[in-house]
Amino acid sequence: MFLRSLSLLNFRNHHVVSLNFSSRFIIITGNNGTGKTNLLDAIHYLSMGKSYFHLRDESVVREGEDAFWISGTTDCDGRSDEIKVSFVKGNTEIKPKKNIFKNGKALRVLSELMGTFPVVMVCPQDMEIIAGGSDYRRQFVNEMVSHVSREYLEALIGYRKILLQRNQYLKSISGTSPADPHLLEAYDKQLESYASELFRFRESWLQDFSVLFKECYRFFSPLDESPSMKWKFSATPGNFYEKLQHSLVADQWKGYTSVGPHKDDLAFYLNGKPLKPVASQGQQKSFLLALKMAKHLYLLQKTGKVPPLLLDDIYDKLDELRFRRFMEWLNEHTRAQVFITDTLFERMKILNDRLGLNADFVNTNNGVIFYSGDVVTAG
Amino acid sequence: MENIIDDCIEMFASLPGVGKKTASRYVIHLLKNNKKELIRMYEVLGNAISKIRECPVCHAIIGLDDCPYCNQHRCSKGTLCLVQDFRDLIAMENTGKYFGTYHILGGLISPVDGIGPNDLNLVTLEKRLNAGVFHELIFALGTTRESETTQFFLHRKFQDLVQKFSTLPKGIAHGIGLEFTDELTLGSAIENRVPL
Ligand SMILES: [Zn+2]
Repeated sequence: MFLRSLSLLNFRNHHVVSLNFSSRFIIITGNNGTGKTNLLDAIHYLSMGKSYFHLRDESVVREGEDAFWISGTTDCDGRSDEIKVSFVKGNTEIKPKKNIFKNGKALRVLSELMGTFPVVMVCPQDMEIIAGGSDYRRQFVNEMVSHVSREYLEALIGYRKILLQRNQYLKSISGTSPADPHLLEAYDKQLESYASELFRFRESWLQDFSVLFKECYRFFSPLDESPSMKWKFSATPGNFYEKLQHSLVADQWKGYTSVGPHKDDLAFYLNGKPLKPVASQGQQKSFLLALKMAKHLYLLQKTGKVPPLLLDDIYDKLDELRFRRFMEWLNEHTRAQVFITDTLFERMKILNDRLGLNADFVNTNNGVIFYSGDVVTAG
Repeated sequence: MENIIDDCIEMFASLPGVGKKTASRYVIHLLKNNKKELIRMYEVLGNAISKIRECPVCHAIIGLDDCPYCNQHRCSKGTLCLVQDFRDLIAMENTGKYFGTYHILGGLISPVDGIGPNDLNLVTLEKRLNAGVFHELIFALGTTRESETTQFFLHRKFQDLVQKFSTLPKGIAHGIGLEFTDELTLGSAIENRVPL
């Protein structure tokens, strides 16, 4: 699956951008702050309808403007889709409004976009998946499973909405009156039903994913290293309801629900020991790259589409060996379209020539300028 | 003078779906038109205020006469249909398939929107159910998450007061209130209600 064109209006620092891509590799170079990452985030918007970096829609509108607009044409084995995302800021008269269109038709809910254009982003912030809180790991999984199952995304949205209601209810009565047992039971039953669906999906995801992941890790590491991962479920369908009752007194005091799928964590291991304390920086990077590669393969397996990879500034963050192995995997073991950003044109030019990538080049130093692969001579 | 116009604009802007811009257009239009239209509105609305009231039993909006939805004939059917608001009552009436009585809840439980159980018309509901004249309580609250919560809550709360509970089948598009359902769909839904 390829992104054939990308157009932007008032997205982050970009005013008007219109690009067409013909090569499998697109190398975007430019100084820091010229908007390389923003181009990748715009592509992510076409995939998920939102920013990869948790930016609010309001905050990605170019300064001084009221709206942004992103449009892209994808090509999957000759079948072409046009995706558009537009957003208009609200004011005293109107509410903020985001619209997503697929082939000219406005989508009713976000879940209708899922699976249309799956992508895999790899960026420096991703180290949080290994080093950060459990929410980074849940997001990593949620994004992936949402692309392959609309039911999963709908259960996730439903679960979050009921959780919000339950928490708000607990807050509203906190200290003033005991919780109404019938209303609490209503919320707990609704949560239980969504939670058991999420549990089921998360378990079966892990079975498929860990096989792919182990294969990918082999690309970087000697055979005696054995990586693995395991869910640490906050509760199972069998004991969730009971656990909710147990934590009720504390939850009521905090105005917050302390058990459930929103507390699940995915634990990583190397040779049977927790990854973070035992693994070197290099091993952690291998682990992270393998997670991303496996995500690519998982999406391919489940959607039948080859997801493009968006590589933000990874040359600086990886050592020579890992970078070379990763590029080799991309080039020789996948058919994926690859977007690469970097600050230095020269070294990307060398990389392009050495690996014979035949890349398209984009430069962001003076506005966004496109160079076709064969006419590139200088930065 | 300026304050009076501002007050008028504020008043129109408080209507659902009307923003400040539209409200100012209304006010300017009404003030320009020789005040004739304004006086007519004043009369019609004034008349409405003095002749319209809420039924103290079912909370429907009615005239000065007895409530048409609470009469002897309807009560004798023994069914009570729970709806969110008066618009849903009208939608149900328009199907021509339901002949029992109603009770308007006045909202759905949604703490996020500041609506708790105490904000619904439950005191009058409990009183009616306690009287023992109803053998079936029908939930016609739509299929949003808030209606599911409210339905589950009321089902538990009143399970000892009513013999039979039923709800409209899920045929109604998910996440849409009764108001937006067409008459034929809603009519067949009330006829094919499912026991809880
Ligand atoms: Zn009445």
